[in-house]
Amino acid sequence: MQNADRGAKVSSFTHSMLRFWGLVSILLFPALLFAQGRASVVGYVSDEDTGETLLFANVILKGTTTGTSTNTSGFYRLVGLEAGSYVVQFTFVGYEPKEIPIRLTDGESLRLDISLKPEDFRMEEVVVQSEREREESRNLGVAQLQTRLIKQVPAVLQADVFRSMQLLPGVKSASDFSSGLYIRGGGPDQTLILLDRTTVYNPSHFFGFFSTFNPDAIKDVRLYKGGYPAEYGGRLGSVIDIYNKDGNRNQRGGVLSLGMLSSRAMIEGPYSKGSYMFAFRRSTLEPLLYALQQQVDNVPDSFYFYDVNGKVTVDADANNKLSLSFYGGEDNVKFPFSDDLTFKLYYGNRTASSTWTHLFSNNLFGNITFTGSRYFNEPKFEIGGTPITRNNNVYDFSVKSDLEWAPNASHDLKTGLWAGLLTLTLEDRFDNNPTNRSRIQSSYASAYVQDTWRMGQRLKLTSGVRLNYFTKGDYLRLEPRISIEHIPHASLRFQAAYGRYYQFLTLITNEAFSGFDVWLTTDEGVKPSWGDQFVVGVKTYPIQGYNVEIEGFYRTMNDLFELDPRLPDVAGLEYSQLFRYGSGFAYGAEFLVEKTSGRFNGFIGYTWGSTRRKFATFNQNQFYPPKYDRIHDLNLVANYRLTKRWKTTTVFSYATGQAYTDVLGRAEVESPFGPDPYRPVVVGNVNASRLPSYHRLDVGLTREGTFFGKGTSEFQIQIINAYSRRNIWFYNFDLEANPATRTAVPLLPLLPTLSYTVTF
Amino acid sequence: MKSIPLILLALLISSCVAYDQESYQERFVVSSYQQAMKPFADVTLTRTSPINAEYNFANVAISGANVRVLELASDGMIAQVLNFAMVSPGIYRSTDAASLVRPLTRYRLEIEIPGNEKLITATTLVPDTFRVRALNSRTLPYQGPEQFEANLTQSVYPGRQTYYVITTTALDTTFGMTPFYEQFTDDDDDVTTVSSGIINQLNYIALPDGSINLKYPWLAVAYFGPNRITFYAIDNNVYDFVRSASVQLGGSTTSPGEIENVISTIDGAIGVFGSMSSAETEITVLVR
Repeated sequence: MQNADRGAKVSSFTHSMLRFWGLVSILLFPALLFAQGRASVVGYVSDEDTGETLLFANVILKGTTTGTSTNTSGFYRLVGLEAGSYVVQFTFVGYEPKEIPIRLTDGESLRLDISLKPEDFRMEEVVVQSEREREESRNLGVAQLQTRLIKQVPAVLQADVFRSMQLLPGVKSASDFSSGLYIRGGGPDQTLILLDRTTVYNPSHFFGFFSTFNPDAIKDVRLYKGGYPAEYGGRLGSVIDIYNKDGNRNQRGGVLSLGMLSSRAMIEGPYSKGSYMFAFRRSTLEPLLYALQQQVDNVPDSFYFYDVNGKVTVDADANNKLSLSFYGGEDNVKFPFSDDLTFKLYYGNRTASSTWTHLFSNNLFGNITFTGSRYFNEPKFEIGGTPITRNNNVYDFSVKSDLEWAPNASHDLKTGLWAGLLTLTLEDRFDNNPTNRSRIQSSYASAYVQDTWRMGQRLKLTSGVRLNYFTKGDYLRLEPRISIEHIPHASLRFQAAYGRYYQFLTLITNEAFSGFDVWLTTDEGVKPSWGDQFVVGVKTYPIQGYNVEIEGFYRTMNDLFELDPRLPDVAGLEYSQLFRYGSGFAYGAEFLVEKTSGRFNGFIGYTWGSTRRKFATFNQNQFYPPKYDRIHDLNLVANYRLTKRWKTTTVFSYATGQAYTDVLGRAEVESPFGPDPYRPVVVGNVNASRLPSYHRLDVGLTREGTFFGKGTSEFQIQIINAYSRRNIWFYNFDLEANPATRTAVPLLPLLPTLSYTVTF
Repeated sequence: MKSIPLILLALLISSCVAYDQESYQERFVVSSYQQAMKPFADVTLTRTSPINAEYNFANVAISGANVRVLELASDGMIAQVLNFAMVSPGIYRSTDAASLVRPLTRYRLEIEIPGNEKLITATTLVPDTFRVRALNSRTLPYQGPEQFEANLTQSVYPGRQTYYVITTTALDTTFGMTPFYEQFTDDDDDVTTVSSGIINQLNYIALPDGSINLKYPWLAVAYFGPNRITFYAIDNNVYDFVRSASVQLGGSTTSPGEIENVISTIDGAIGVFGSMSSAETEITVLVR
């Protein structure tokens, strides 16, 4: 019987794989039909000072509408060109534009690697930008975050990638205490987070207070808020694609930064075959903990976090590059409340990836990446002589490969495969006895094909499909994606996109504390979540140096599965009984006005939006707003250069108060299990009330100088919540008091921070 | 293409359904836990009170209700009717003190309240009885090398595994509190009885003879000296009420401030009309 079952499973698996690869073949076949073009120009674009490749830099033939942008390897291709003379213009925000005259003969393939010079600061001058500059970041739903801005924005404790991202329209935070990203109405698990093409499962330190990404080590952060293209998949909502720096290819350099609660160091430089970069960051909480331990009880015995980023790049030859990238980070806290009550938590991430990029020919570019990712958490309580422990691990090993082919001037084709093995292990022990043990293993595979078709000078159509296969539950799903862009005028774009998205994972987490996160997958009876996204947008550049963007979106979420919050114990339950099942939707409009250059620059982002959820047997089966739903959300970021040495950054945030459930009544029900009665409360609609509006002003002042002639220095003083607004996180009800009392639990108070950074 | 904006507009409009906070509405509250092979337990009948009002049992107790419990045969027919009489405001007691609650039997509660047109009803299926077969030791030092281990016969509940709640009751508090409770309880906290949460049967080791072995955690011991351990096998109504009430003001995965009403298995009221079976044993915990 067992053999028969196994045989049936093998047969089912084989059948599914055949279906998968059959469909992949069908998807890829059209790519072979395109004809070869004529002359072409290809090459890498890099930073002149550091040799660092520039991602999504713009390359256009001046005086024409022919153009492209560099890919995630910093490589560009202009193909299918007529023979003749051209001026190739290279632009990238923060860099001086460069123009290179070229002459092409029929059939010629010109290799043109160029470097751009970073702009010096100019007090009064408005830096002229190309109209097509940042073309890629103007794509629908895409936002690019510069590391310069991340370091400049006032931040609690330390500069943080995700905290800075939360200022963008459409991106919300759950609270001051959480760096979790809630993008266009989706929860944190609906965003795929990639570091050097490797999935990161819990990108947080300090129990979620800030993200794991060290801004010193980061080259590029790209956020696809929605309607993302077929080259990405696996999440219902959005994608964050982060790349580590390759390292300076020209000279050795580094950064040393001392902060009040964490410090950072980074070193980079060239070697005979390429470049390297290593960055280290560690909390420096020990003095604060020591001081607190002298004055108050219940202070952790020890608490630290650290992370290490590294990347080594081998520039084998003009057509081959190899990179090895890794990340390791962990948090470790020991909290002995007493001899009979201790709490320890150890959690973190490890990732490693190796990418080989190869230029097969001037119009065919490819890469292959091997990735490994591990997330773990190991909380341990010892209460009254009873140990309670958890050992939770996520292992994800994958290989992915992409090919980019430009058969002619009208088409850019991309296709790729991604296959991997995901293993989730979880063991809970109570009093040294295992109470919950699970090991979920699933293979996954996906393939996509995507074509960008320039239909004349004013219309661009990007269409693609992605095919996903997930063995746990045997799910094969097809995702169509399409976007269209109409450019009636050089400074005006109309855009629309549609896509279907599937997600095979769900995250068990706590909004206030992310140290215990557990991921679970689909299975038989637990179908993958799926949703459709519709996005429309208008982008315009009314005045030189200004961008105005408006985007509207509507998205659905179906077959959502998340851990039933009322399950007291999961031992012995069917896997499908662990979850509650539901649906949701979100819609909204985002407005961004950005001044990109000059002495005074910054942006105003405003989002009007709504998101709803509905779960069976919850809230009388009605849709309700999750806590992070906000109707209005406004962020203003203003940078002002006071003098050559001094600059300020101001951030103001306003948001509609978060949704909460007002308690209307109370009851008492005797308990057969103890002297205290149950005190259930009576509520109406879940989350139908609103906390007071949230607003906060953060200011930062930076003095730039030199460090004994050896490098540059930055001294920063920042004040978070400058006017000490007591924003409310939630209300706490004390039902033992009679009448019951309600206490507001506040968010961050006024917090000053200092840091000193040396770059050499 | 032209129809897409119209579709989106229609979707937006359809999504904008009014969702307002409701105002307080008084609810009836029932509590009663029937135990297998014991006389029928009292039924407590009260009302909810507004959250900002002082809660006083005398003010919310409901008098004059007509309370009865019907024993249902396996075919759903009424096998027996037990009437309950008010013994004090809000408290209703069975008039048949001799009748015992029968295991694996279904009972329906019916309450008529003067002035309330709707009949309040709830049904429970009583878990099967079980007993403590053996204990590895009756006396052990606190947090010593050996822990108390009990061997229980299995309780049966149709259609699912057994859900347990375990309590420890100090029989003589003069022996003093164990260190953890000594340090982390206030003077006005009553921990003479401490209770576990709900524990699924499949957490425990099942022996070939069908019994289960259960190691008793030191965390459950609040006092040195003699203690009574009581094992409860609970029905679906107690299970639903306890699990939903315990996370109402803060579950491990719910957002702070997101509150849902308790699961009510009573038609016309909130609270619980549940049942359980129990077994108990006594241990003595020595100061180590």
